[in-house]
Amino acid sequence: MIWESLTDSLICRDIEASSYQDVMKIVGGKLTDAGYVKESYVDALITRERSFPTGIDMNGVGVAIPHTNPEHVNQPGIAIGVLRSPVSFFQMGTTDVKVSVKLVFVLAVTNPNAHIGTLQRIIQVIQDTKVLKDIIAAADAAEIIHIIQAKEKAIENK
Amino acid sequence: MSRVNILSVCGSGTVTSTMVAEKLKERLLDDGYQVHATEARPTEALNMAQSGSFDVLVHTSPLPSGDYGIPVINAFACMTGIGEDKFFADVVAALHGVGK
Repeated sequence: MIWESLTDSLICRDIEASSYQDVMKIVGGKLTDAGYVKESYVDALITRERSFPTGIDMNGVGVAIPHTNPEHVNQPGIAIGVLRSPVSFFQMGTTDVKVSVKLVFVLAVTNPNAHIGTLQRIIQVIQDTKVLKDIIAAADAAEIIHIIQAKEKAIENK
Repeated sequence: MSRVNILSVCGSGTVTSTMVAEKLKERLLDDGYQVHATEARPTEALNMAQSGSFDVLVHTSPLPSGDYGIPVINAFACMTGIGEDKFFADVVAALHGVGK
């Protein structure tokens, strides 16, 4: 599971950003720094978001799951960003519905068919608004990892 | 068990279309459908939809306008879980509508 490979270096809190482009540079940049993705990745994220938005209003909590094509990715991973103030994204499936986003999960995906379990797990985690709120309120990266691990455990014990 | 072909469209033809396709495979089993899903990008969706190989199209990205010739259903509910049951019901109704 990708969640188990989460590290402090892939989690950014208190991000000051004024646009989704800034968010991509900061959070996506963590994946670049850690070698998960190629230098072309962040620009590809921004370009793709413009045409195919990834904002989701999850029952009142704005979240986004930016991602892009596998050719920009070396190995699968997730970077998490918590924004100090919300930034506007557009809602997935639209080009004109704005979502005020406070939390982003930037996905580095290679072959999606090889990671179906992980993709489903991501959906299960982000659909839990309490988990999203807890991540936003978390005091540090370790707490964020703990929240996600606890959620995964709950899913597995169902 | 009735075999159906669903075209699942998202921005890169990878991540969310795969998520949606997997949910459809799981959920529509209960309705007696064996779902075969093909993921596609919006730019290739119209040609593929018109090929006659697919029963319905589901999408999480904006679609170029055109005559798709098959039922087109927005799958955004699969991402939020809100309204998901209606989404699956809509897909089943659309399959009934095309004689499946």
